[in-house]
Amino acid sequence: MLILTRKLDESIMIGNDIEVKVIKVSGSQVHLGIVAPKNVAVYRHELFEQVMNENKKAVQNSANNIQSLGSNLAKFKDILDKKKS
Amino acid sequence: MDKKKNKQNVILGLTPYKGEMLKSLDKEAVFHFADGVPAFEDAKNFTLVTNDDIKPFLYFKSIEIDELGFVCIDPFLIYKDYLVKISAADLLQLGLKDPQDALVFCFVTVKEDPRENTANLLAPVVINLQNCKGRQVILDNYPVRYNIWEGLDKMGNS
Repeated sequence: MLILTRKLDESIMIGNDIEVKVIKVSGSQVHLGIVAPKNVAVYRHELFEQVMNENKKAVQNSANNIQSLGSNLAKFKDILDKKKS
Repeated sequence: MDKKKNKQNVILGLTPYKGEMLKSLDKEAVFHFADGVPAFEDAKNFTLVTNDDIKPFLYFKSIEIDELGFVCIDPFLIYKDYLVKISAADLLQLGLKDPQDALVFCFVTVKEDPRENTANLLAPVVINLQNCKGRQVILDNYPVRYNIWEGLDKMGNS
């Protein structure tokens, strides 16, 4: 991993069109300003990780066990039908 | 009687508008995900399977990877006023100009007890029906595990 030291109001460039600037430092919190082209998505890393983990779990629980999935959904439907009547 | 009928509509089917959208889809429609979905970046093409047996769920299946598929649900069925704010980056990649062209659904994590099934409201799938391009977009104000059963219950009672 490349490690750079930056002071307040200093920035780094990623390629020639993405700028990451240190806006504010307070205690253990760092505020970053990001300038990037419109087609570049910027996420907090932990959000992306959460989505990755949940996707893996969703696939495991459905595809690996398609039979129990069928009965799970059937059960769900049963409960719904009972609820309606 | 009328009241009961309305309630059923909310709980079971896709909302009429969305239902129409699905019906109007070619059954063999293939959706292209240029970046795959997080954790499955190699899966670029998907198809959507639905029938009365699995309603209100849908099955979103990879074309290239046989065993890869997601159970899905329409988030608007389970969360009142669910709002998908799509970033400029995602809009651009989807080529989406009119929100009316967007088909939105969420992945479901199936649990042994169906009452514990959860939907990923944090990262809905958005498909542009005009060009069949899709992305799993990340919002930041919804839970990654939202209990579907409780959601339906809340919707049914409101």
